Formats: sequence, C-alpha cells, structure tokens
Amino acid sequence: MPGFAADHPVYLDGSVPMDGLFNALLEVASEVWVLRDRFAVLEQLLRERGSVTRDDIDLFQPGPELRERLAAERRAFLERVLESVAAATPPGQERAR
Amino acid sequence: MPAPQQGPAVPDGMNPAVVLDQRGRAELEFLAGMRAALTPLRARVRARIESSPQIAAWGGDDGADIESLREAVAAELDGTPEQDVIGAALRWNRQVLTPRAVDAFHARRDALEPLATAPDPDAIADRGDETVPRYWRYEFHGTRGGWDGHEHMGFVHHELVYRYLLVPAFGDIFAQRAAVADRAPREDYESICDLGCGTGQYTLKLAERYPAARITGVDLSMASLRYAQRRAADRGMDWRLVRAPAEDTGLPDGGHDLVTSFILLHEIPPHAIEKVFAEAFRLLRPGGDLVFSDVAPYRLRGPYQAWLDDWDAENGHEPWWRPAARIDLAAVAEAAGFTEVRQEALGPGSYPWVTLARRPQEGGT
Repeated sequence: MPGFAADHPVYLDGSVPMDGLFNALLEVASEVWVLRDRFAVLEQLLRERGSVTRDDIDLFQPGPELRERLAAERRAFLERVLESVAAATPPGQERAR
Repeated sequence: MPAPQQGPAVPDGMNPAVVLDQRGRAELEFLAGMRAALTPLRARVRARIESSPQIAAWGGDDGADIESLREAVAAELDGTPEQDVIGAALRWNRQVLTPRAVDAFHARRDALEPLATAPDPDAIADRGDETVPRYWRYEFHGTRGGWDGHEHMGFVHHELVYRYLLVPAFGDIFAQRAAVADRAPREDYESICDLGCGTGQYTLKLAERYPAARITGVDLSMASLRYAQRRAADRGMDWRLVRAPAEDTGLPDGGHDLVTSFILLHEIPPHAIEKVFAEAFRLLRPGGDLVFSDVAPYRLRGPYQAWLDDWDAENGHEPWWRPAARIDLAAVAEAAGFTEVRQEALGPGSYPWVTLARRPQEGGT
C-alpha cells in the first residue's frame, strides 16, 4: 500500500557503511568463539571430574593439548569468516587503500 | 572460589600469577586468532605485490620514495578484496582490544589489582602537566583513552595486551630488547637513563645486563611508570622513575654514562626527535654513550615490507612512523654534537635498527 514502509523495507542501504555490518559480524563471531571455548572447557572438566561449578570453568586454564586444539579451531573458524567476506566483495570497486 | 589453576608458561618478563577468567581469556585469544587467520589473505596480497616488476624495482637507483610505492601498490591491488578485508578486520581488532583487555582485568579485579599496584607511587617524580607535549594527546596505537586511560593501563597493556596479542603476533620481542641492551659499548656503566621506558620492558633488560648501574626511567605515562615501579620491586630492584617528556626530563646535566631508548623515537615528531638527542647529550657525562633503537628505515626494507610498514602506520595510529623511517638519525646525532656515530641492524629486515654515538670528552674526542 502506498505510504507504508513495508512496501520498501530497506533501511540501511547506503546509510550504514559495510564496515559497520562487518564489525557486527565480528562481534557475533567473538561471542560464538567465547561459547565454543567455554564448551570445550566444560567438556574437558566433565570428563575429568564428572561435575563442575561455574568457578571451575571460569578459572580453568587449558593445558597444552586443549590450547593447541582451540587455537587450530579458532583459526579455522576465523579463516572461514574472513575468506567468505573476501570472496563476496565485487571487483572493480574504489577502495580506501 | 577455588584457586585458579596455574596457567601456561608465560612469556619472558610477565607475571605467571596473572590468570584471566574464561571470557577474558577467550576474547583476547580470539583477537590474536584473528591476526593469525589473516595469514592466507596476507599471502595473496604479498604475492600480488611481489609479482609486479615495477614494484620490485622500488628502492633501487631511483631511491626509496614511499609515496610512489604506496601508489604503485594501490594500483596493483585495485579490484581485489583481500587488503580491504584485512584493513576492516584489523580496524575492529584495534578498536576493541583495549576495552576487551580492561574488561578482562575488571572481571578479576580483586585478584589482579594486588598484582598491579605500585608499592610507592609517590616516589615517582612528576615534571608536571605543563611540560606535556601536544603529541602525547594522541592515542598511541589506538590504545583507548591513551596510556593513562585506566589507572592500571600499564598492567593491562604489559600483562594482557603483550601476553595475549603482541607476543603471539611478533614472537619473543623481549629478546630484542636484551640484544639492544647488550650492544652498549661498555661493561661498567654506573648511571643509565632509559627514555620512554613505559612499563620497564627494556629497562629491566638494562638492569639485568648492568646490575651495578643506577637505573633511571623516564616516561610520560604515570600509569606505565607505576607498573614499572611494581615490576622492579617484584624483582628486588629500585629504579628512579620520572614522569616527563624525553626531550625535557628535568634531570641534572651530565649525570649519566649511558642514555638509551627502545622504540621511543617513532612515537614522536621529528622536531621532538632532534630535541631528544640534544637532551641525551645534556644528560651524558663527557665520554658517555647514546644507544637508541627504533624502527628500520624504509630504504633498508624490501618493497613489500616497506609498503606494509607504511600501511600499518597509517592504519594503526602511528602518525610519526613514516618520518621516523625516513629520518637520518646519524645526521641528527652529529648535529646534536655527538661523535663516533654508527648504526647497526640487529635482526632480520634491519630491525632492531640501532644508532650508537658518544658525547666527546671535553676539549677533544
């Protein structure tokens, strides 16, 4: 219906830089990572101790094996995020370099 | 609350009792992981730059004009996305780094504050706000709020940012400080002044290398000096610490036989660099030594590395890096009255780049 925004539900196009959306994506990715890390710690503690408290998780310091696994997973996760952005950028655009 | 498990071995010079909670640790590890995950994108950028014959010829007989290199690389990368994604990712990384580290500190403040507090902050001499230069108001490296943006910024930066971000990204950067301390030409220094000492990373290497010397550290950041005092005290050391600009320390004439600095000069404008050399000359006894280590000159870097240095400086809050990478420090030293001026590269890519000089004896050399 004319005069209603629902006919053209576009609010951000042109007014929000792509960088803003990219920053938001990285905020979400960081939060996902914190949760993945917390799950890995939780799983390890449950395997070792059977039950855990919140402080157990918060103050746990991963040993060498878990540290290496987390570093590899973190890197793979971030490479997927960053490469997907690079792959989607249209060619021939003027850039701020 | 249970005592935290002892964390992994910490880098040289850091406190192993500093343990973050899971969120703080994982957030900072995420930021370090992002830098590591940029490697494939960086490799493609590098391959593209190095495939250009025009860029490969940079720095030859035509000289090392960084503006023309930047233009040539921009043209070469036009239409490719990698450097844009790297830029956006690093921008976000720098933007959130200090706030994340401060949040991690606050999450365990009760446990960490006792490790961060200076034993005798009133003993730090203060030259006063009227001597603070304009360049100090800039947020160095994007450190949110500046080096004094938090009362424990020295602790936060040294124990958290260096440990979680900078050491993983750049390796054992404290060994570089030790190597520069070792290059000073004499063994028997009695009084050493470290200009731009920050939290005492280089100062500690000087103190370890020259245990008989009285150590003075000068910096503009009171938060950094407070943590430097704490780090010295934790090792049974006692340094004289002064909050002042390196070019106007207020210290007496001729009171030192070594005046030195590590990565101070690229943080200040060229006119201040000249004043720092003049101040070092004033602080030294006749026959005393100057050892200043800083960023490598662009002319000694390959085209890719020179381009990357300059791009990083522009995009990483380093307004004075380019002038520092082009200034002739040997000429500045000679103009300040120094003799026996020489320069040495101590590592790959001509970094650390060290300028050594001597204040001549009265009436001769």
